[in-house]
Amino acid sequence: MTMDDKIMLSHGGGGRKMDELLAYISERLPAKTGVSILGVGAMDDGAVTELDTNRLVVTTDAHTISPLFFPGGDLGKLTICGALNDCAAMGAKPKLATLALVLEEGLPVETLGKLLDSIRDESEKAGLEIVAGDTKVMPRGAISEMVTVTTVIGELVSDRLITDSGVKPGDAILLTGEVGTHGIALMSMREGLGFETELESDVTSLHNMLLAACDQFDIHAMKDPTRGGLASALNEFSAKSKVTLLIEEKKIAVHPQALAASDMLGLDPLGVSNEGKAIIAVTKDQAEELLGFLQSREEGKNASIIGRALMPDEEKKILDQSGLKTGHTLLKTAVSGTRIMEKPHTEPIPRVC
Amino acid sequence: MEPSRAAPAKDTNTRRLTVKGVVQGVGFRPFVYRLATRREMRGSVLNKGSMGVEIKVTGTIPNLDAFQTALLAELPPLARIDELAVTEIPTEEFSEFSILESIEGTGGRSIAVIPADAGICKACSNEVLDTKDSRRGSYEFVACVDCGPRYSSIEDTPYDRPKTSYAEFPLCKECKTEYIDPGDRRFHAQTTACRICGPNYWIASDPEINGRAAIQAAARTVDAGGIIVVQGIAGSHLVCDARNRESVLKLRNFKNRHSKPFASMIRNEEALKRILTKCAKGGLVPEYDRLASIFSGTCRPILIFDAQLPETNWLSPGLGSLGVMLPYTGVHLTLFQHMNTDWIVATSGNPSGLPMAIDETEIAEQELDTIADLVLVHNRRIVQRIDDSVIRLATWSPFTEETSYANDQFYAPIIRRSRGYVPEGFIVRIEFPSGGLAVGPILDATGAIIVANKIIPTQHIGDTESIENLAFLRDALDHLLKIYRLSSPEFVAHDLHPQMPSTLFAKQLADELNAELYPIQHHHAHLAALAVDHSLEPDAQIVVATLDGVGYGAPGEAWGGEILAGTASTSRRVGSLLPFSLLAGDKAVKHPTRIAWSMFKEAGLDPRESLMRQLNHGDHEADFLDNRWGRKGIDVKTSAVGRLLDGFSAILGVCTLRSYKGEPAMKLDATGSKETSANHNLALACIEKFEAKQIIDWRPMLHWTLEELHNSEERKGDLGENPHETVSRIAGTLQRTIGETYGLACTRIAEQQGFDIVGISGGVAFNRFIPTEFRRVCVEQGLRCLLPASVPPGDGGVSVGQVYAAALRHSMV
Repeated sequence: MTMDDKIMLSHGGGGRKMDELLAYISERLPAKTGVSILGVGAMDDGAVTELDTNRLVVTTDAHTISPLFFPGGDLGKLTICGALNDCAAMGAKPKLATLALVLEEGLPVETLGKLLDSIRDESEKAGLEIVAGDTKVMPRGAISEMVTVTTVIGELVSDRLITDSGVKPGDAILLTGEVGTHGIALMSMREGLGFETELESDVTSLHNMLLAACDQFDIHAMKDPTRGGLASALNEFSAKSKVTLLIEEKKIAVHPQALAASDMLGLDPLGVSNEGKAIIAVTKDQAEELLGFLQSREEGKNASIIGRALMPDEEKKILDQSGLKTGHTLLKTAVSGTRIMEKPHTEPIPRVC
Repeated sequence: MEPSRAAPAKDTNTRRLTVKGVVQGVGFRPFVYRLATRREMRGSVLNKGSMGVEIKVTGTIPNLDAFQTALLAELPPLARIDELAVTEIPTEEFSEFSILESIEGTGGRSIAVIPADAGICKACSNEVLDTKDSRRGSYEFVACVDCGPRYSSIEDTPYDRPKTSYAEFPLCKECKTEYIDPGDRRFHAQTTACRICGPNYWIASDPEINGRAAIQAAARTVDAGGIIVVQGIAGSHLVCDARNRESVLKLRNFKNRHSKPFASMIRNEEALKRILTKCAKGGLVPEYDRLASIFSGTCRPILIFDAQLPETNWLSPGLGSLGVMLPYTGVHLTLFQHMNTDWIVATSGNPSGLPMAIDETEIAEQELDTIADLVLVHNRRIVQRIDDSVIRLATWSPFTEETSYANDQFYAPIIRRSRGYVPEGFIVRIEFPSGGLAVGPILDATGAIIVANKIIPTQHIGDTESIENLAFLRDALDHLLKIYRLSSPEFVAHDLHPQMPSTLFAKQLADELNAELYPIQHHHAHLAALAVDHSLEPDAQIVVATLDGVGYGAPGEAWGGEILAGTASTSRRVGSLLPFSLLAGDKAVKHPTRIAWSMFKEAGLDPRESLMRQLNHGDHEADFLDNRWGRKGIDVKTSAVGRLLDGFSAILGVCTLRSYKGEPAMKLDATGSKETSANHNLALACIEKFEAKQIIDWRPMLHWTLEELHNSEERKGDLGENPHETVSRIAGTLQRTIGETYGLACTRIAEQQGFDIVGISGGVAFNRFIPTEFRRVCVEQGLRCLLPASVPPGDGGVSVGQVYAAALRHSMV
């Protein structure tokens, strides 16, 4: 992969450009061997490390968003939920966190206060203890209002690692709810499309639901489809697990208002960010039961089985015919056959977070 | 049958004639046999597969000359000679004239020609219609050396029955007698069959009902307003009574094609003549005789022509045209024998985005049986699925001056080159020692291979965004590579777009074949395809207006109004349409009001008054569009004439929502009045700064259009035209002016560069106004003007250009 001369907004968009940036970074900062069981090179949601006999998950996240307060949440809530979800998607119970705040000169203290309240409420709800912190103030214009950085340390709930590369042929792929709501709500609001009264960000923490699911089911892989949307997340699954996923478009739920807004914005809801959804690969036999479990929870009430990883013989037939190689996600559409579901190249509009 | 030799007689010579072209599977050898035996000449004829056909004939010199003359003059209908090599050899004496067992020739790079499927001939039709004929009367698979399935049934070459899907049907005694009788028109007819030994039809849900009973039941279903699926010779059709509005609407619902035109089939020439006579009022179409060679020739394509018929206006809503074909196989004739209606819809049997179903399993997989009241299937395997071909009559009168245009001088470019044409190829004026292939564009794709001096495109594949169609493309290419014995193509050509699935496909193919990759820009491929179409020398320099809806030009630039100058190998972009933004990408294409909005903004006008009522989300959307237009660099900019036509279509209120590819532009074309002429001053205004900036500025056309609309509003009735007539006049004038503008721009470039050939290609070449006006301007300037003829100017011809350009570049390395 070649890297551009300058960092562009699209390098943070969650698509192919971002892959290029991440490759550049991890080449310059190679993961040290020894401590990590699953290192930064795996490009997963977090790393897995071992101290004494406890297996720990470490994840780190930076957040920024404009506007700071949006329908359904704010930067504070986003900071904690984002960190929690990354940790939970690895199958770990979040325990400790660090928090760094970078503030722009002139930020109203009242605004900061409200965001800190949000951070406190969300972390208390999750039983997450913030054990260390740092704060910097940057001159006006050097940063946009406020940036947060969190590191979360969690404890694996079972012996198995839950990674993006764990999808097995035959697995069912579940999605925990409607997609695209966060990104489209934000863009609709910025563009003044008038959908904001009905469309809220889906930002929420999923760790309770996901960890309970890990406890009860034979889950092979989990991921929260944030930037780059469902399309990117599924592609991470198929590429890292070296399987071909066959997803049915009609099984993917999209909020009707999000659909209307994305139509107007010319966006594909499958490539837009989410902040309270997960995709889960589970052994086929447990798919229905897991679906029932997810649907019984508020965070998963709109869950559905959206597709499956093809078995080798099935995969071979398709790949031989079309000249493709393994590791793609295919989308069976209602009106135009089965398409390759690509990672969005860049976000079509300045990125959301 | 080894010929026995006797001592040579005096005064006789022997010649060896090696013939290449379409000479296999078209009754060529029996024809040679008859020519020779008629003159009591002896010798042999041998099918040597990829080496062509070899004739040895002994006779007096005058007899040999006469034989040779007749060979060229009296060819059977499906045969075509591309090469004839004659050698005098030592005199041999033969005891008779014999047709030898076929062999597969080895060595050399020569290539066999595999015949295309041919529409049922007159003699076979008569047999089908003869109810007293026990073997062939009402039999669906009647064929002879002059007609019947070919490419759709051929597994491999040389073309002989054991290598077709008829191998499963051993000939009965009578068929065998005909097959071995050199005097019979079924002599060596590889796909001959009769009711006793051949394939047969049955109803999928009730296989007990077969043969005539099945056809009768199907015919009754159609007459009763039902929908049927008919497995044909190369694919399947969804069929219903074209005159029954309810049935057609039901079919529309199923195919999710609410206004896209449906192809139809008319009982016979007499019925078609009656319909054309009705359409001829107002000079919309020429009389049948002028079109007969297209309608009833061996290719039997769908011909699209202007027609305003209230009785079937649901076939092509809003287009004022019809797409019609004549029956081309026995099953069509037998269905019409039992149906009351003389006109049926015959649209390909597939949901959009998937290849057409070719057997009972696929019909079920694609759930065609859920819509159909009856499914008619047969047991002759279809080796290659081939859709119907489509030709568009795109002019009202023939060209009178010198023109390189064929088809009786009527401009009738081919839209989809498939059944009846494939796998016939195009000869280029250069030999390539190694072969290669091309994977085509993303929409309406075909693939193509090149071997020696011949380009062979695949049948129509469809949009290669879907895995199913990619698999179809792969299968079609593999089949061509196999039958043309091209085992290791050296290159793979593909579109310049980095992310198209077909680009990915090309890369993986190149990997497998260890071949080199050649990305070919979409519009350059159009130029190269036009060069192939007109057999230009490889170094011929041309200026071509490549006008279409979209093609990747550079990152963030969607081209489609480009003037390219150069050779089929490489060209430069020497002119382009003033670009405008596609507001919110694909959405703008589906909602051409957004294109119109962008055009207004680009011209410094406020779109709200004219276009506000066309927006679905009112003020919010208008604000969004304004805001979006102001944010440079977010949206793709396009220079496509296809999109400009979409924009004008919205501005004139002709089409504001697109439900199928090309709809707004096609409707603008349909709306335009024939009784208009180009506005010369307006054209000049559009190219005022052409020399300096190489830009064709459409803004004067927008100003003129709005002024005309305003004037007619102000002077209601004064102009003696109603609002519809105003729109029709503006639409006609605008399109003619676009043709003239491009014509003027191209002639200026030709003059600057010293080129004397100009041309037009791209999907806009199907328009009835633009190519005609373009050509008029160029011919007036004394230039040779190329219009597309046998290679589709739309995306269906891109693979031909890709493979040719890549071959030229590859041979230079």
